[in-house]
Amino acid sequence: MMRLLWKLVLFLLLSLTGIILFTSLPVLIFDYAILMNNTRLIDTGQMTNNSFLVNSIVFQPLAYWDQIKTTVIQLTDITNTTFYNNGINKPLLPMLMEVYPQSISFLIGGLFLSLLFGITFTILYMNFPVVVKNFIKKCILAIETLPDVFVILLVQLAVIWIYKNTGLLMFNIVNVYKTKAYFLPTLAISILPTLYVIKYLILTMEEESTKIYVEFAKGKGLKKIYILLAYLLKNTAAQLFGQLKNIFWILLSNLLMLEIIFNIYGITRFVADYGVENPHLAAISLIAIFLPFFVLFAAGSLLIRRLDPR
Amino acid sequence: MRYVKQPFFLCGFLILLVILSGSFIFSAIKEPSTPSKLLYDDSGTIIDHAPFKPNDEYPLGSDQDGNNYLYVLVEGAKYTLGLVMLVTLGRMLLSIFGAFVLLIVPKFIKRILSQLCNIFYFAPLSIFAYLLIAPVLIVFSWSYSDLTQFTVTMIVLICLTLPILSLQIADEISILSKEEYIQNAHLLGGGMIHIFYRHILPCLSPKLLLLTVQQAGQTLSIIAHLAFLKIFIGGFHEITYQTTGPSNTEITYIRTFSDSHEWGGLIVQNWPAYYAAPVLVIAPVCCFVVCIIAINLMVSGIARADQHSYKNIKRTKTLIVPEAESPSFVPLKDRGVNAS
Repeated sequence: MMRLLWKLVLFLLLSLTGIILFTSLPVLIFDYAILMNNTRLIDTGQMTNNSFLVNSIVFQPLAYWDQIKTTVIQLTDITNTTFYNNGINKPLLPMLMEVYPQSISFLIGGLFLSLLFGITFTILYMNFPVVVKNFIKKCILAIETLPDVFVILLVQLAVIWIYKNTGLLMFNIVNVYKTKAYFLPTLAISILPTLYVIKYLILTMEEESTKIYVEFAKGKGLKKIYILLAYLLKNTAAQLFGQLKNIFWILLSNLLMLEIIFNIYGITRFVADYGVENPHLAAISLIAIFLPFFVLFAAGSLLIRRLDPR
Repeated sequence: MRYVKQPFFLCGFLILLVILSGSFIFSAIKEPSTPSKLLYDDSGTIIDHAPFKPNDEYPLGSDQDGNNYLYVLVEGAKYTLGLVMLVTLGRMLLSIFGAFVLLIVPKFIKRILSQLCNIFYFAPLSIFAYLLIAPVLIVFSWSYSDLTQFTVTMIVLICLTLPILSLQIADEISILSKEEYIQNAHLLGGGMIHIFYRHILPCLSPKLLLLTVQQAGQTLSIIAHLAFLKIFIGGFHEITYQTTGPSNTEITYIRTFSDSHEWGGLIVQNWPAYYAAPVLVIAPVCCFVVCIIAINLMVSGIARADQHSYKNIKRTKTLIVPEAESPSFVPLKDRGVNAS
């Protein structure tokens, strides 16, 4: 138990360090002091002609170290942190709190939706005849190769198409003033992770169902559905949990496309808009994305450890 | 060479080859034409203005200047695919070098690096690329020359997955070098370089091929993502428009245009017109999709060919076959974030 805790703490610390080191990287290669000064002059209107400004790639380890220190200081003093935008410094926390809950609700919603759909479908799948099984496997392989951009565009277009043809607007398609789209984005975000879950579960379940204890259970006369739920699902759950990181990654890259295509102002667009001028903002936002995942991951590994002390 | 016989691999490879060669041939035989912003029918009446709707002459409609969009896409193919090839090659060469560096340095550095690389799971790769590319291309674009902008973009795209890729290749090499025949080669007096060329490279090359193809797919999807984040990779120019709006107020707006008609650039350029003429955005996205599918076909072709040859060995030789698959046969796709 102590070893697991130690591992989790190490994972947390190294991930935080990694995020801070990476988001400070632009300062290492670009001359931020001069660039930000010029940006300020342009934004406040003190400089109107910027065509004479020339800069080149530099290498500044000292500025990099300073930036890392600034980021850590800003992170520890998060209530007073400000960020630069268009000539003035704005407080970060209210802005972050505006965009953060929505994105996280999409992420968590997408995660649960994909697990729910994935597990339900796999249980159904295990009861299908072999011909259908093979067909489904091929379908999944084919759909899974589609990139996320395309899938999300397709969902949006499908809803528009249904609306045009039947006059039935199932969901709000984009965020326009005050009416927010909730269900469709969550659905769109969870399509590819669902496929991943299904693919992985089918693989592990079929492997598991060739084991001797399953045959013994069959021989005892237990119902197939009982074996599936009581033995197979329980025994593959830990392996599926090991894939949480990959599922989360697919969800995140879907989230980025979702926020752009559905015009949702969420955390990834927040990072893209302000993260370049404020490296500490990028660090704080990425940590904000990382933390819920870490909580899930830590809780899950502790739970598995408790249930299965091996 | 056995991959060429694999139908999946061949299919994907041919699709890419046709697109690429088609693009080159097209720009060689293309006649310069001046696009018109208005479309007339046979009797000379105006029936449409740019962007045209898809019709017989313009299968995908046209862009805002009246250029035939299909031709624009074909023209852009060679830049997009060329860029992808350049990035992929750079990644592979540098990461093989990086793998050697990782094998030489003490082990704890490798372990820390692999822990630090975990951060790539907690945000989309394209966001990481964006944070490094946007300073030169968007936010501070006024102070960098075109050449710097292009070099920085390329270097960032190449170096982004370098740590992960180097770690993977280093792992492969260290697994291979534990094999008995390589240990024996050491004992028989083979030098480091000799052993690498003679013994490790032949075993490593299928895996390197697989990684290369996967990286190409991943680069394509990163370029598509970056396009949605408004990054022009193939160069751009800005045009400032001035019109008079309602009640004689003067409106100025700036629109950026892609120089090379690279697909990502086309997506950015036409994004403001997405709701008016969706085909202008969807067509380049579909081009990306076709290429990504072709690449994924190649990946599964390679995987199948390897599996097949492994089965053949099992069948023909009556040696004792290993019970479990050796770690080097675990598909690489399940290991890293490089799965596209």
